[in-house]
Amino acid sequence: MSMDVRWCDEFVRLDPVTGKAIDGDGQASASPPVTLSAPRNAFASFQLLVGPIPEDDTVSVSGGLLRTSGKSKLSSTQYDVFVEWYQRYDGQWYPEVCVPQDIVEGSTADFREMNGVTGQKYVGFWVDLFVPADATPAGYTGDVTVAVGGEKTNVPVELQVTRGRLADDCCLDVSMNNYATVLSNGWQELRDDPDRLTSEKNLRCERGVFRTAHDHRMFFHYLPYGHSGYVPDTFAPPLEGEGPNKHVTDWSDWDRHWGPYLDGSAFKNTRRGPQPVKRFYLPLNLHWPANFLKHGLPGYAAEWESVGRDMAEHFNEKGWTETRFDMFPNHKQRYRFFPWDTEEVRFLEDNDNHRYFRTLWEGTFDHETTKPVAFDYTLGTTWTYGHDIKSDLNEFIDVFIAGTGSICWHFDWLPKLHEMGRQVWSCTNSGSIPVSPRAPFFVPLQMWMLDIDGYMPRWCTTGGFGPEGVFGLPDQGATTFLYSGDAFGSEETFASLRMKVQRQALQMVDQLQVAADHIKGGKWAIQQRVNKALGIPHESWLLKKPDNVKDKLPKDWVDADFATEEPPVAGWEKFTSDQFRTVETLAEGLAEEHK
Amino acid sequence: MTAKRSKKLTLDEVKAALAEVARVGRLFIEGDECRKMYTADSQAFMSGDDLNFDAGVSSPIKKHLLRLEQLCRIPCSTTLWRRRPDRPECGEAHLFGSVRSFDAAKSPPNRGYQLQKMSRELKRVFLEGKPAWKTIDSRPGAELLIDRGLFLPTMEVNPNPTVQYFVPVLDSMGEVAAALEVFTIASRE
Repeated sequence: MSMDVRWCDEFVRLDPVTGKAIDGDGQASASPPVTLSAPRNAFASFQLLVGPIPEDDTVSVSGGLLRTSGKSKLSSTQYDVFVEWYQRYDGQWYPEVCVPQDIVEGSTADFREMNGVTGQKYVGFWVDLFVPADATPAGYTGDVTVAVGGEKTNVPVELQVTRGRLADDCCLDVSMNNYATVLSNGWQELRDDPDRLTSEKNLRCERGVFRTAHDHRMFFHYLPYGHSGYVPDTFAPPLEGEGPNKHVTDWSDWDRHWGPYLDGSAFKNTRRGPQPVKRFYLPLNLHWPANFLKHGLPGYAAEWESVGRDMAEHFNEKGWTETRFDMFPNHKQRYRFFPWDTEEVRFLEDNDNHRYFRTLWEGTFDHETTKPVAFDYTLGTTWTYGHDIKSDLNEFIDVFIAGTGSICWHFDWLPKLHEMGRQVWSCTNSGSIPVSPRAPFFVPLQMWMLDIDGYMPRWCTTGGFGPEGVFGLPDQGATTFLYSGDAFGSEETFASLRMKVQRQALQMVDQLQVAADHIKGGKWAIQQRVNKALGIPHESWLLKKPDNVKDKLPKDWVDADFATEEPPVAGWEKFTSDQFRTVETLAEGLAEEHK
Repeated sequence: MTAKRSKKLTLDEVKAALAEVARVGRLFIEGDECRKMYTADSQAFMSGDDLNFDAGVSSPIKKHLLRLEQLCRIPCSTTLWRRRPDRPECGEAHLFGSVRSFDAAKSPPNRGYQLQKMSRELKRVFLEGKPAWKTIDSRPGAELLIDRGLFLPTMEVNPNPTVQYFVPVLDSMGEVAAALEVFTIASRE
């Protein structure tokens, strides 16, 4: 065979026309063998580039058996192969959508024609190799087979399975935050169906989205109401009655829709297995379960209490005790449905609405009342984070979601909040498609080094979700990390390459956490090891507080106040891929040492 | 929001139902209060970030809008409109009931907010003190609202016209302080 097969890791993106590395940073592909290293219960992933290929040939990859020198084996079924689909921004084609090979039967001529890469000579594949939790730590060897037309060539793979083992769940809460009913727009058949929300196809497609997030150590976080307070069909159980008699009349449809995420059965046959979804948004808002007409009146509180009690009892009966149920007040004044911001408050008096909700929350949804079921009062707070965490809000808000900057400006409060049992997340930016893979890789490391408990890769992760999404996205993909399979006639949802890169980083921080849980000195000791590997002091991770934050109320901040804001010393642009690889290797060694 | 009756009405009957609710709304919504719904320093906002309701004034008005929708014999929604105090030739949605008016943008952006000149209907309300009807076929977004129940089976309409009625809300000086819009979709089936 005259073409070449090259391989690379998650940091390298290869051009489908030239075969060369796209992102600079001294990156390049390598000749086989593919050399991998991974703990157990984790993915070892790599990319293959095949070419130059004959125009009409189908190219495919299949994984083979991996063996040790002893008796241990890893089955070929541990491989998942994805054909890389390219998107073009500013004249450059980027590998972006990971299309399951078994759906499209390889990179066929039709596939490439549909992708429309003029002059395409090379075909990219992303390959996941899942190392089961009970795999024997050892060195394994085997091949993947690359078929081009009728010709096949074996590419050797060397995998070192370390003694480290990832926990079943990620040490960070990674929320793929999104808003109902965006998923129903993902397939044309659903768009055309006036009854889409109750259709079986909708359910199947939605399940696929949740499963894709699940297998990337994230969770799909689906807010079930709009700014008006409207809750779409099947996103809330039906209610009846008034005041203390208001109750759920029938749980069956709601259970059928959402129960499988909460008992984990929706995630059967994923690599991570049938674990319940980590967090789940409830439809609680200004207009549900109580009509806003009663807001401020005894009946409003009575309806919250009555329906809340129904929920807690029902969830307990069903055994849904591993998922944390979030109330996330999301109303914003600018949408002109309600006269408060209940999220991203700028005018501090709007927080009085949360103080009002506190009276409804405590005694109905607080942890002590509802255990073993857990409900969290989750607050999006950007402008006023510095005020909110130091106010009476910290007495009942369970999760504060802010920008990374805000968290850094008040970094001394993070340990206090943790001592109070509070979580702090960042709603951050994991990079658009043209940006280097170092950007999505950096985020989990940054969060872990800053002791932040969770994050949203972006405020929305399905911004361009639809049948046309694979052909190009708004914001150069900054708000899209998942793709509907509709263009390929599939009900599945495909991960972006950025999502796969970020999963590699999540596996890395999970290994750091394994070490942190076992070593004397705990997390701080491990963080020092990371800083040493990167050659930076710990303060480098922090953003400097601008003067206006100290001197002005949030309502008086203006853009000019932030114009000269200094970026942190530690940013994705400041590190090379090799430095990140060093941290990956460090993490693996530490997890193995301290398993 | 669900269709309250299965018998088809005529378009005139649909309009009569909306007009009845608008008549009540004009009486119960205080024009003086409408002028104070935004805080003083937010009246001339040009960025979504700067929009700030006075909740003590606005919350009761929001409840009025919701009650009007319940009062109506047919499914409908409501919107209050205002004239910009800084640019009186411009009209702007002020507060929505259950559903945003078809004539209103989703939300003011943080940058590049473009004020809109008053529509013909808003001019009639604010400049002449008279009510105005607006009926338009096949508006984008109508199907979504039909899915949510904001529709009424109506005879002899094709395809699904939105029917909007705008009436003046007066303040204590007899000046038009706001326009109340009551609207529905007259569905073919």
